Amino acid sequence: MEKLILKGIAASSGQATGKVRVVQSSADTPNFIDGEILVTHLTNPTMIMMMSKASAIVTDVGGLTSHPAIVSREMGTTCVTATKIATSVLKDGMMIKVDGTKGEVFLIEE
Amino acid sequence: MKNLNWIQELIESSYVLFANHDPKSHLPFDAWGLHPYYSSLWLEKIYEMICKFEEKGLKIKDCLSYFPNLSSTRFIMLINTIQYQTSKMNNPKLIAKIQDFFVESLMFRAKEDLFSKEKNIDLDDKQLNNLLNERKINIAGKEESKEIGKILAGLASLTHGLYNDWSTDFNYEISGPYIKNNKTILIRSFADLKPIEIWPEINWKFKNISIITEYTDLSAKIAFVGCHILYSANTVEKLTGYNLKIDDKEVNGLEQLKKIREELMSVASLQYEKFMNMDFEGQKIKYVFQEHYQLKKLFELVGMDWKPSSEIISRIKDKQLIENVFPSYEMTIEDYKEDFGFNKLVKAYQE
Repeated sequence: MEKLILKGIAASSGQATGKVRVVQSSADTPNFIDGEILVTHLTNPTMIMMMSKASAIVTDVGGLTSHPAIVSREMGTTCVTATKIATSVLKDGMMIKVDGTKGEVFLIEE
Repeated sequence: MKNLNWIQELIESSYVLFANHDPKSHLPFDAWGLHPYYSSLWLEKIYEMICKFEEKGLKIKDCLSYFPNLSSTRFIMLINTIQYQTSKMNNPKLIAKIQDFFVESLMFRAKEDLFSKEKNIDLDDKQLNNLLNERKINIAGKEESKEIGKILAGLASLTHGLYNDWSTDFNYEISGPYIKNNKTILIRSFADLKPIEIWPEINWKFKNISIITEYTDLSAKIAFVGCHILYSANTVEKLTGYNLKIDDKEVNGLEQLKKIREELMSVASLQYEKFMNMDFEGQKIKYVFQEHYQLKKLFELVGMDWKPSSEIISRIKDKQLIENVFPSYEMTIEDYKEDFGFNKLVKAYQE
């Protein structure tokens, strides 16, 4: 069952489902697993390797032309920005679905 | 009477830029808070350059290769307008001369849509055909498409690390969209990936990378500057062909693309980390160097030192950013015209 938990800007179209990994900085790179959903306040270029492995990216801030949005669109990776509270609400290991076409994030409940 | 229609085009196109942006996401810092300290000196330096240009009898149409690319020129014009406002300067002749200089260079180079409301077109049909004849488009399979997407992400990120969020366009230009044989073509140029004058410690070999990409069933819209391109569909899924050139060498094939992607992502990450590890004083100085570097060729053409003066450096030294210069980008176009200096620019031309 899916429950809408976040809304933001539809920064890069598509949908992806996966486990949350909340990231603070590039120091999290060694622990980031291929296909996880990168959740952070705002991406920056030091996070590019994690971004390239992520199945989706969700951020607290950022418009359509912010770093996460621009980079996600070039990689064809789903992205929702400007959720305001993603890093507070989402925890490591949560299963979520990210809809980058509508700007919505759903919790997948068992 | 001078034709000033371009000002309205600049306003309408750049307004969209802000509508799509979030002031909380400026990297590496909110430079609006830095400009008021020094930008009057910066604008005076640009004015001096233009005066020398004219004294030397130089013509803009003969010196187009000394200007930054189209997106960078537009962005500089926008920042000039805003800096004239936030520095509280009152020199109408100065700002009008500066903007005339840059807009004239745009008029010679942009084939249509002067301020990129939708497109950034600097090639006519003949030029485009010549380019495509010279650079063969390689077929992009699924895996090549993914690698191209990551290469572009790596190049964008490296550009941020070299030039920050405010001078990005100097090194990251997208020309297009061009439609040919029902395909959408974009030409991405990263023309100066080795600015050793700003970053003397750079140790990678490549300087200039350009990528031509061809898509099917995808439309693209460029909003004011090339790197703020928006797509109608997933670029990796719709990519059908590419041509990648690194300096003078064309590169293709999945294994080569993977190697390039790995190198780019690694240097991009390290480069930005280098910047982030600088203290705030160092970051501010680097910022003004990056800003000045955009016009290095023009300054040197007229015999001026392109680097920030000691006076500019002293103006920003030990200063904290002024807060809330522009706290929100949610504004009507009338508010935008007033707050961001366009009304003042128009008035400058009327005086």
